Amino acid sequence: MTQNTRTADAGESITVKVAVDLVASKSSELREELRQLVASGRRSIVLDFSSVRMVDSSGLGMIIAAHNSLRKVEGELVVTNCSTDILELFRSMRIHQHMTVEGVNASSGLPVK
Amino acid sequence: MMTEELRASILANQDGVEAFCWKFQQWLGADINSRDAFAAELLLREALVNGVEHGCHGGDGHEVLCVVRGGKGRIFVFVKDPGAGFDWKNLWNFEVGGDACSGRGIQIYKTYGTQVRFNRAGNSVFIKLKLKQKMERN
Repeated sequence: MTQNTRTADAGESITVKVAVDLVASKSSELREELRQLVASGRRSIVLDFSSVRMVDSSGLGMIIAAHNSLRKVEGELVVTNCSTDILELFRSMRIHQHMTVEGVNASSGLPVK
Repeated sequence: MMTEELRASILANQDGVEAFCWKFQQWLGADINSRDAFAAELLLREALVNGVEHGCHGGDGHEVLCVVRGGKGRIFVFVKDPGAGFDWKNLWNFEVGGDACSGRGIQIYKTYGTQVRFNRAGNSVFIKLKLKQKMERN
């Protein structure tokens, strides 16, 4: 199975580059990884979605669950580098109203919220 | 050359879902824009996972029927499972809370599908997706 990569590991903050699509068949690994990160004291988790092509309702549920766990301990979950399609999915499901979700401008490479 | 119809009875597990989605991606090919391809695969995944998880409770002994057709700027998805079905009429207008961890499958149907029809029992679903950009095969 493809491993998620941890980068920018600093104290309570960590960035996880997600290596798989967040769909029903594949999201359990990341769910467990995030659970362990919160349990070990991480309070700011950034999910880098630059390699994620698809997210389904199971994946959305997993992200919301991680967000809820972090919020209980005054932490924060941020999703970055979403494709245009995934950013639109987050917006249409109104998830962007509850957490920071960013895409990338295809031409400039700058973040888009 | 791509065929007009993609049809299979998949084993009721996640490997079956992934195998059919892979065939679907090959069936779509490159002659469809990103937004349409994303919407079509997302709708298909929701229907398949519902059939496998709720219709068969992930039981490998069951099969889920999947049919995909394309034509006249549209994609049609039909999925039928052998389960008892569910009360889709009650769930159709249910508003999912922003921090709810489940229940977004119906919301995805309503957002991305042009037309969604369940049978009376709720163990089959027909989805029509009108494409923003017509496929060349039409």
